Amino acid sequence: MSAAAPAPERERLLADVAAFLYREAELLDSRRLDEWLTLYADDASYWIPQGDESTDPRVDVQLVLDDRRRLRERVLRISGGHAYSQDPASRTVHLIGNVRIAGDVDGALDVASVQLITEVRKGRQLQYAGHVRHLLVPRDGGGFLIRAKEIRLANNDLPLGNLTFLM
Amino acid sequence: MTAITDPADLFTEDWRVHGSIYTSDAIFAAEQQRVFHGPWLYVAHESELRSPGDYKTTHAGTQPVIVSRGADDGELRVMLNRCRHRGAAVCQSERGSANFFRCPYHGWTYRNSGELRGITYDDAYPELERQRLGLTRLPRVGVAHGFVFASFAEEGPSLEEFLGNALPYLEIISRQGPDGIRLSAGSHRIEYDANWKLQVENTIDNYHFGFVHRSFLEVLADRIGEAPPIMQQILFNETYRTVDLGNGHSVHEFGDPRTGNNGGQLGDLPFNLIVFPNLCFVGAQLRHVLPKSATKTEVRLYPMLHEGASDEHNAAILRTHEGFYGAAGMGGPDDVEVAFERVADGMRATEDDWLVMSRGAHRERPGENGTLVGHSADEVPQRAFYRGWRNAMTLGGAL
Repeated sequence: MSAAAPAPERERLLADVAAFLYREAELLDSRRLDEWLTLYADDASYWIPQGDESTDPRVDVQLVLDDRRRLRERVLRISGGHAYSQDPASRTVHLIGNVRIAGDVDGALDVASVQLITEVRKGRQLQYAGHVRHLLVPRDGGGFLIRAKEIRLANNDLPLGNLTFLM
Repeated sequence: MTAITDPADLFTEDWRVHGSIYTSDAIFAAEQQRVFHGPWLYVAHESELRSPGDYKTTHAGTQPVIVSRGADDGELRVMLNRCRHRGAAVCQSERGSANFFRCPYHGWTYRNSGELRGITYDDAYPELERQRLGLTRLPRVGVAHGFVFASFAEEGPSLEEFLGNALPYLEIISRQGPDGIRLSAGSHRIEYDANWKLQVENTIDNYHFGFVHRSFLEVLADRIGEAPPIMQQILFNETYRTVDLGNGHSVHEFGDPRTGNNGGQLGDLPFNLIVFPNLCFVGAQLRHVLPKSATKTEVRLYPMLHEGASDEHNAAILRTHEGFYGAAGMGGPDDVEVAFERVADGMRATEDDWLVMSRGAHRERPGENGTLVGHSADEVPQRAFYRGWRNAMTLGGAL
């Protein structure tokens, strides 16, 4: 199904996509990270840019630009019990809004949303707001796989503390 | 607890160090006068200021400065970012190119070389000495292998004398790429609630690596299928060594600095270097440590790209850097958590306020040019730093 489908199908697609984003957020917030990782395709990228839309990862430093291998390593690190920056682990609440299907990119649905991520750790509550994009491809047997996720935080050019939890 | 008021009393003969060096507002204020006012301070790399008119803003100690390349003469200057009229910062951007800086408060305008160019509605100042109201310049600016330094002191050792034994290492760094290096990729900005010296000390501390970065070593082990060799090398490889270079500077060599490497990652330097007081080099990065208060610090991590190398090569350097460093890295945040913020937590216990910095002091041996050489995981770099710090701090007498 594509973004150009008839109206009722588009509405159903949008509902499916939103449900998928909520599912991803639920896995993150409950720290079921191994399960979360299965949402990502083998060729997936996970990107937290630094700077505005003009930032170019080929020549500019980014906060995170992971391939699937490094994303798995992050999960491994956080889950191993010796990542002190996640000891104690961050407790997060993802609030998702403004979900829309922005178009198609190379056979993937381009899904835009805004997210407000509240993080509580070591007596501090912090909030990160950002524009989020998912490129979603159909998964064998139904549902979606994430080919790319981009989290463009509003404060990504400010001095930052600890962003070692997964977003 | 009675505060120590003579900096000489902050250290014992056997290298116990008083905890107030990290917590005292009085010591922080004295540092700005004695440690950051006299010596040369790093402010920029030439690659950030290639063309006439280019500028960047940064800090010399806690003071906001503009580093600019004169639009008319191409000269590098370092000036306080403060309007001479009523004090507003005249330049807001981190980097850019401009012929003039215009204060937004009352419209006073300065050339990018600092001279006061124009005062709005200036008939109200019949006797103002305009030529003395340019942006306040730091009196000395110098460049060493592309690294730009400035000093608040009119007189003192030359930049070459100050850098001394650290100079050859800066030269090696300047030659990392086929045509040198450039700091064009921006920087990671880290902020933490603890003293700035903790970040400097932690730059060369091989003792901590296997503990604080255990989770990263687990990742490496998963990647290569066996325990990574770094800890064995640190403990047993005799070509891995720490060196007190004098003047507060120090280095850790992973073998010969001209040919060796740390068996590490793309773009990594063959050594870690600390240039007193707040410039560090580790991995593929230049690290500029910016004190904010006794218990607040900002750190800027600038990946050094290889000039003359392909975008793919430099992108790989960036991805490698991001894997460990930055707010989301798999290594740096563990340093922030343990070596800075948990230290800050612990330092609130002041009843017995002394630290131990004597590791390997008994086996420091003289090297060339007045250096002191020690084992890889000894606290030679910490003692090198505090020898320089103590010298600067005691010159001014009691606090």
